[in-house]
Amino acid sequence: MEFTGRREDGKGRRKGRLATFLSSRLPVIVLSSCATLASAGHGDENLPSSGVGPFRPLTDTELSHANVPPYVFSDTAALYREPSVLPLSSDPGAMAVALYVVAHVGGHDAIVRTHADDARSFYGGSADNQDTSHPRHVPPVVLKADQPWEGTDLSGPSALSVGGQVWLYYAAAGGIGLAQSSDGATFTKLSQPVLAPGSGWESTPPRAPSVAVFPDGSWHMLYAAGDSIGEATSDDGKTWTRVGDPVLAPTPAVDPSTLPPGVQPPFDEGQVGDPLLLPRTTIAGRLQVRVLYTGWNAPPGTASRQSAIGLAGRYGDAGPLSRQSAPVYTVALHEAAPALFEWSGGSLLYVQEDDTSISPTTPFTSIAAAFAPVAGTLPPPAAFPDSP
Amino acid sequence: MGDEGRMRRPSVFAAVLLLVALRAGDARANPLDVFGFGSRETAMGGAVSADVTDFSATYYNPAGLALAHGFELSIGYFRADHSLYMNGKDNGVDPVKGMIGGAVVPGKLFDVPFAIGVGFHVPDDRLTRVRALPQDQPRWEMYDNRNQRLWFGVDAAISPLPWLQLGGGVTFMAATVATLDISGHVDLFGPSDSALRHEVNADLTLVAYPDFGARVEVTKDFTLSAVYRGQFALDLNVDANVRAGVGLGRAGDLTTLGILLATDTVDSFLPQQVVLGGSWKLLGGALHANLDLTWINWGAYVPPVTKLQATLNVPPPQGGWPAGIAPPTPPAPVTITPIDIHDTVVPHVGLEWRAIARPSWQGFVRGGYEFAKSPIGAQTGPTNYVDCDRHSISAGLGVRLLRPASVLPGDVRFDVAAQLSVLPTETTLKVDASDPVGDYTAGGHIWNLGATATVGF
Repeated sequence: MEFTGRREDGKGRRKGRLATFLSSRLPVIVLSSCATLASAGHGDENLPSSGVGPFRPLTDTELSHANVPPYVFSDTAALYREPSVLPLSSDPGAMAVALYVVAHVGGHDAIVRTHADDARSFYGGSADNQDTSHPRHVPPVVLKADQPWEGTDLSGPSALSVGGQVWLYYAAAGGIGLAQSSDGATFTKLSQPVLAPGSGWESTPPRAPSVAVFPDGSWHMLYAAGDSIGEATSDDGKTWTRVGDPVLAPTPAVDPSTLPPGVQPPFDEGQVGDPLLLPRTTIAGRLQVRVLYTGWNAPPGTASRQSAIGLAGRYGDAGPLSRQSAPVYTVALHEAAPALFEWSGGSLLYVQEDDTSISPTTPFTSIAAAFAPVAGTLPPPAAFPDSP
Repeated sequence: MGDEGRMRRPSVFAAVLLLVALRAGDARANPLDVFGFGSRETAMGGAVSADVTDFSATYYNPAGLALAHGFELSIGYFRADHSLYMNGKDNGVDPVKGMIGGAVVPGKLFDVPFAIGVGFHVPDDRLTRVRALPQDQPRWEMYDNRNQRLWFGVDAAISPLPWLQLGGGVTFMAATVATLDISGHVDLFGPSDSALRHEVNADLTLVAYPDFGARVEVTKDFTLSAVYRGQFALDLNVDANVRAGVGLGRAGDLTTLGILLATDTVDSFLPQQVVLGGSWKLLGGALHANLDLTWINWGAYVPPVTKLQATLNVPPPQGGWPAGIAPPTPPAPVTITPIDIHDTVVPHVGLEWRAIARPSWQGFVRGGYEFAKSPIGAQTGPTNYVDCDRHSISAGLGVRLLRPASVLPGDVRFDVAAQLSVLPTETTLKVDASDPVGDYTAGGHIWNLGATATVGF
């Protein structure tokens, strides 16, 4: 065995010393490289998303110090619920929004309006009114029951920007109505419901409307009735024709004893409702109809039933919806009635939710907010506005 | 001491080295598969399995080590910058960069040419990176994380016949077994008032795979090669124990929470590979034309999705749970969607032209091409293992100084390489309209630049 620095000449001894020197330094060179500090890893920036979850509740650093996360609009008397959000700017980076919610006012349920410049710090909520340097801010009632077909209470606002106007669909005892406004605050109602109670599978009057205009100019409305979600179409947003069968029904019930350990029954096997219609054109040029909805695990009237926010969808302008088996937002606080604000920085989900910030054992209903993507961050909150 | 005695001691030394080579062997991961090892080899599109004798033979074909003419030391650096996009937006995939190098130590064992080769790639950002992502999260499966690895290899080779060289080694790399203990108090309504203590214990263990290579000189101007690289995977196992009192505000604990989480993740799976190569010497040896075909057993790929087993123990407080508080439920076990992935054959072609031949130095011009068809099928379902076909075009220059100085009586080489990998944009159409990710496009390019210096003795 020969083991020299070079095989075929006679200079191995001298080169062997140099080789020894360099060989002894090689580990030092290698270890010097190893000693550098690592930076944080990347690789998951700007990931594609349908923009509809999963969502995470807002945290205290993302809200004004007066807000108790994740609640963004609350009042123990008004019991704000069933939010509908409307962007106030066409700038994709702007976060100013108007929020229409159901409030308990004067013994009845009406629709009030508020707004926030950052989509989180809303005028007239309990957080805003902790500031005693200004008179109490009260969100104005923009719509209350005053038509014979409406009964005494309004619910389910769905605000839509149409040619410089705000169209506000709402639900009442006799169906779904429409009010129009040029400033988003003073509304004029149509005298008759645009969607009267139906028959067949619709065991209750329609409620919780959500209206959108598709890229082809056609109007589509999703609404809840009975335990399911139906669809109607229109050419002008005022005259509606029902599609027929429900586009989304509760997931067929599953016997829990047949499920593998740890697997929960479907979250929406009791009832589906509160649809939020969100059409978009995907990057591949397809129409994707996204629908957020409330799923309940038991039928109405069941004492212990829970709810969660689910995601359904379809490609194209007609047909039933498919759904995700897992909810996109669930906190076991009776979350329901989703509304969504999408801007260039992400998506904010608004829901009504049990508010335990005052009493853990006696919650009341407030508007909570959640954010997607879950790993993203929101810009710092802004000040509360001075006007609704 | 006679000649016989002098022979015996080096033989023992060689045997020890051989044992080290076979026991420790190579530590191989993925960066070299994608970006090459050594500037000459990268410039030639990686088509060198029948035409490599320096430190990079520890990756391309250990049999080539047996043809080393002398003791060589190599050192270099490369940097590969990703510009990979989904929906036209850069995903920020980290660059792969760091030092490369190695050494070849030739000798004779019972008059049979014999050599030990050492090679390394040391990232200058982190030694290794392990990420276990949800299977529905879009990620560049072949480029993000997988290529950020420490690579270290030792191989041995012999030339039992003048026209035959054989080499091989064993590969190892670290696997992680860890325990995470969390204990303390959880306030259900005051997260900032919760106090938890963490304790992490982690062990790095070794996994191994073999590799072998053969090189046959069919004629003076034509050489064939065959290489086998074994399968490799990192197991990342983390067990987490959570023990905490659960309360409301400062009223004391309602109950105790106990969670035992056991996770098992296979990370950085490297499939077995077989390389068949040929090298032709043309123009009197001034031009080398090489072709390699690499079969990669991607069909055996195990995606890095965490398998989670959770055991939850939360006894209800006295009097039951307060209104508005639902007892926690353990997370559902992860149902892993099988990945649609298949074997591929990757062609590599390379040219090396000795453009300048002077008594004291030589100049080389090199070029190469590689086409790596994506092994991953269209991600139309819930998973999002994003990948695209890759066309890699490379070029390089080299200078060989022939015994330039008395202190360095061997040759000195400087090689540089540039490689552009283009991933044509592909569109993924989701079957399920309720998919949270939706349709997307993916594509981009990667620039890889490097330089290597080699000193012979």
